Order: sequence, then C-alpha cells, then structure tokens
Amino acid sequence: MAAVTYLTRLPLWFLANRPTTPSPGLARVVEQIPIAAFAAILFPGVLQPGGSTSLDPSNLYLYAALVTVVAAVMVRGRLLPTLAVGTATAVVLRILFGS
Amino acid sequence: MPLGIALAPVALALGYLAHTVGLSWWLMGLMSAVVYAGPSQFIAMGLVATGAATPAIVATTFVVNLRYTLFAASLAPHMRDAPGWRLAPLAHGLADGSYAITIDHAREHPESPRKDLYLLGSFIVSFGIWVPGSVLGVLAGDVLPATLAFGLGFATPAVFIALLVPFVRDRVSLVVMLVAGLGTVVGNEYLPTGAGPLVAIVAASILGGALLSRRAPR
Repeated sequence: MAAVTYLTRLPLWFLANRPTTPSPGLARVVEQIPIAAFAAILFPGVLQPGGSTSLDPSNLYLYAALVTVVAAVMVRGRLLPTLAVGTATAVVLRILFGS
Repeated sequence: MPLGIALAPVALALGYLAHTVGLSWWLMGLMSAVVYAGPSQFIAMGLVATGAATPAIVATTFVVNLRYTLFAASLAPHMRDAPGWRLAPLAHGLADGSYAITIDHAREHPESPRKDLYLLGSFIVSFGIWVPGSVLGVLAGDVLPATLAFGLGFATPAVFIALLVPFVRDRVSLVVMLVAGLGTVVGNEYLPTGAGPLVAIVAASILGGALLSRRAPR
C-alpha cells in the first residue's frame, strides 16, 4: 500500500521539473481538478455512508450535510467552525433520531 | 493549523474503524505513517472486514490513490522554483488536506515564492496529527460511545463542504462539482472498487475545462 501510494505522488517531482508550460485548454482542465476531487470525496461520504448508497430519509448524514452547507457558506468556508457545526449536528441528530 | 485540528476527528474515526476490524495499534500507526492516505486507509479497513486478499487491497489502493497523480499535475506548475531533488521526498506529503490548502494558497497568492515550503509545513502538522490520532482511535475503541463515533464519521464530509465553498462560485464549477460527486456515487455502485472517483474526477475536469474554453476562446 505504501509503495503504490508513493508511486501515485511522485509525478509532483518530475512534472515540476519539466520546462514546458501546458496549453491554455489543458490548464483549464487542470484548474477543475480540485473541485472535482473534493466533490468525489464529499458526495459518497454523505450518500454512501458505510459503503452502500442510501437516499433513505433515515440517512442522517443527508440532513447534517444540508445544515453544514448553510453553515459553511455563512462562515465563507472557514474550516474549524464548519467542522464544529457539522460533527455537532451529526451527533445531535443521532441522539434525537438515531437507532 | 486549522487543517490539523480538522484532521484529528478523522484520524480518530479511522482508528475506531481499525479497532472494529481488529487491527493492532502499532500496525495502525505504521500504516498511517508509511501509507499516509486517509481515504484509501478507510477503504482498506472495509476490505479487511470483508476478508479481501492482499493483492486486491493493494490494487484498490493504487486505483483510489491515482487521484494524487492528478493533484501532483495540478500543483507541479506552482512548484517550479523548488530545488528539484526536494520534491521527491516531499511527494509523500501530498495528501488530500495538504493538497487542498496548498492549492488554495497558490490560488490566492500566485506570486509568492517557494510554495513547496507551504506544502512541507502542512505535511508536518498533518502527519503529526494523523499518525498519533489514528493510534489513539484504536486505543479509545473500547471506550468511545457509538454516538460520538457517528459524529466523527461526519468529519470528512464537513471538511470537504468547507473546502468546496470558496471554489464553487459560478455555473461551471457547480456543474463540475455535481458531475464529479454524483458520478463517483454512481461509479462506486457499478465500477470496480476505487475506479469510480478516478473516472468521475477526470470526466468532470475535462467537461469543466471544455465549458470554460468554449466561454473564453483563446
């Protein structure tokens, strides 16, 4: 696991030492990578807790995510308050409605 | 620094999960240090729980972590002024959180030199939280109430909601987010484990790039 993971990261080294600059079209694609990557971690985290898709009303992470999005926009994406509101909401929902 | 504090609950949650599949605390610590890639570690725990064979776990890890190659491609242009040899060991520090705040920094301060040092700093803080945090999660496994573990499980989504907010500011970025996110969910259902995020990230990024290029032809 360690070796193959390092292998995926090593391009940071040789890509930075390549003198050529990418074409504007390719640069626009690369600019989208962070948004796409964050979404690819976020959506399954909420919609597939525990590995299987759950759009059921009993999936409490759905409600916690809605509350957290509102909170994140209000604090303009600051990490700590968003995290605090998110985890606290999940805990409260679990206490109120969890099984 | 806020990133480090945000990582703590995620590390604890990982350790808690490792405890439930029977991993010892020192193996957890070793894994966190040498693999140092949160999502693939979570997936590995899930695979261990289902009794998957070692080659399957290694192959899945590789596919899941191929997104770091995309991250590397997106960060590398900002790190041209770093001494070349330094980026080889520093590549180990290219985890999701460190990538997120370094690319954020690069976007806000494009002119500032030596962004590799920024990545290095975030790595030191993250590593210092991640390794002991996951060990602590294993050790606390017996005493941590399920309700709190449930809240810790939401730490990762909460962090990525916060990270997305400054990036999603127009229609194109909204489309990229939805295509990548929903694409990953669908991909997880129908593609081999680990391939979903990769396919979705590549597809959504190309789509977003194409939409932008059409709007602003060179």
